[in-house]
Amino acid sequence: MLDQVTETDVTVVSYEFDRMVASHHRKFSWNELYDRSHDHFWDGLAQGGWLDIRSGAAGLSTTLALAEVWGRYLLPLPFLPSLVGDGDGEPAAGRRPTFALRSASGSWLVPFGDHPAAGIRSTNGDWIDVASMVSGVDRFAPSLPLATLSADSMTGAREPDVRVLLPHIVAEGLGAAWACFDKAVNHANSRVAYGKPIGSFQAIKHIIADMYMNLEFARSAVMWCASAADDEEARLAAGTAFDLLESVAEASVQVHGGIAYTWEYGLHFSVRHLFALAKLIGV
Amino acid sequence: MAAESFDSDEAADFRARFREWVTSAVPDKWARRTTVPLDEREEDELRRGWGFALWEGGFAGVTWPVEYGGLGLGPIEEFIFYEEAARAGAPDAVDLVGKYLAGPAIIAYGTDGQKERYLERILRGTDIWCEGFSEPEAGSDLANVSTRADPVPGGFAVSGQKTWTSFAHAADKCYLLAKTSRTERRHHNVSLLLLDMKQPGVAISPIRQISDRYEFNDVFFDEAYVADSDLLGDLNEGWHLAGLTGFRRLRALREGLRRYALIRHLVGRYRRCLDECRTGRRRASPDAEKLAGETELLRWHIRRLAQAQARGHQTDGPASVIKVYWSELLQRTTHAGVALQCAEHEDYWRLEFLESRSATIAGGTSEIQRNVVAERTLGLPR
Repeated sequence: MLDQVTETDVTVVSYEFDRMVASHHRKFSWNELYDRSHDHFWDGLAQGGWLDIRSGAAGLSTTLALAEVWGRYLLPLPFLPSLVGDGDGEPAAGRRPTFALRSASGSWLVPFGDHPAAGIRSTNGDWIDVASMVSGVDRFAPSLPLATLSADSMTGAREPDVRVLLPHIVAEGLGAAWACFDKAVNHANSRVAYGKPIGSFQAIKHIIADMYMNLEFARSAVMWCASAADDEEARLAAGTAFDLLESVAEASVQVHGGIAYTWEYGLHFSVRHLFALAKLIGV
Repeated sequence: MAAESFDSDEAADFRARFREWVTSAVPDKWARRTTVPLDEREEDELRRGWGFALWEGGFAGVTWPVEYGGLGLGPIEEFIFYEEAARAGAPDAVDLVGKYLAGPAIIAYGTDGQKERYLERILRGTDIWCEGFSEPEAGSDLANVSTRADPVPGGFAVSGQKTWTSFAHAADKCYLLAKTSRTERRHHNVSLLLLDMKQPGVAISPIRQISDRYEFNDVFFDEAYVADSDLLGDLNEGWHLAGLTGFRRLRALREGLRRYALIRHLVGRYRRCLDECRTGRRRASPDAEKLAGETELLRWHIRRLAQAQARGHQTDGPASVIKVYWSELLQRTTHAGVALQCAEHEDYWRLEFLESRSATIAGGTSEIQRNVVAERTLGLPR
């Protein structure tokens, strides 16, 4: 596994993906983005083969890079479950593949489980339809709704490979935190106070430098997580990463000042997404 | 006669009197709101009612001069007031701008007419005031305000936009900082005006916060009228006056105590979640003991300041670091709470976490606060 993990630099594939997702994302304001289904875009992803990419064939660097791109834009679609699915068994046609993870309270958390076409692979290769078993949905992060299913409803469900899932979750979080960082840098360069861009002030420079440091270490944590010897080490790496990612998101709010405290500015969606990811994997 | 120390008879008397009153004066509905939640309108009503109750009970304006309807007491009693109010779980008020900003400024710099028109109505709770200072392009750099007050017959026509205005939707009056000269330089071109919010040229637009609540507003002025008799202090002296008022020291004290009560409550809940609830998080959680210690220290610090102020000692230094301390402690606490992933109290912590994001930004960002400490308190080069 270690040999496969190279620097998740932006490959041609992830650059293409970024352009495609960005151009779709740019059409909407924040209120609109989470108010619609994006079904056409999802179909476009399927037709383009993006939902068939797996780390086994395409390489871990590629799939981690794609997860990171996805995190930058936070479209409310289950791209990551497709990316980390094992692909064996009955094709997913017409379904929105997802997975279930046990939560602290004993119930199951299913990302995007509230979608009518949500399905989870069973151990014999066919699909379990999830929607009718949902007992609640946590929409704190509109980009990552977490459906709750009762403890006994997932018998026969295939459990995701934690050591494949966790690094991709961290990579998606890295993308979300990176978007916060990008916005903060742009803001520091353009927002003027006391006659100068606020990035001229050392206090702001230091906050941004610290954000960058945390992101670089979080990126290293993705590699660590992917190379972990066992599930426990993978969780340790993921937990360490999320501490860093959360601090980046909070620092971004601070650099922006009051504007980031408004719903409309939209920075909080990335913050919410990070906390939802952490809740999903229980770190 | 204001108390000079916490051990004095005066302090003990005041504490006993106020404690007796406040324990029975807190409305039941407010006391039960954690079990029977209130909607925003009910909360507003109870807060407003608290202002009236304080006046009826004889405890409005603890540190206001007696001649203006206050109790004429000092920092010790102010501390006791907030401590006992927190202990009794009293509502927070909506009259903060009136009692701690506009009112004291009018007392210090107002004309007899202004004192007569406004002071008692503030203390009674009849008039609610809002603060019109910040603008989209004038946050940290407040001197950059562009809302202008142009001379018209008998007064001024105010046009522009203020933002982050708490209480604007309920306010009768606005304590406004506006540009009254186009030729004078920075800091010498703004004035303080007492503006009537209930007039046609004032439009209020609520701001949706990241917590999905609406506590602030944008206020748009379109040739709103302010009479000459509602100019506070001299023309173009607004910056100087706004910075000077002696009640600023008490504001730090009051704000710090209010936050102490909040943080202490949050730390208590965090401790209970750690002990009693199922939590999802695997990462090590911050120590509740450590947070509790840092919280108690806040109270002792403010107590020390109140004592020093009552004796007339210089306290600007220690007062200047209160805000950084409590705002960052508050955020550490709410972050710890939300990161717990407590199954039963998830919504509570998420709300507190999101709302606390403003603590290090509003009222002077942590970055500005540190600059002020370094430059003004410690004399480091600008």
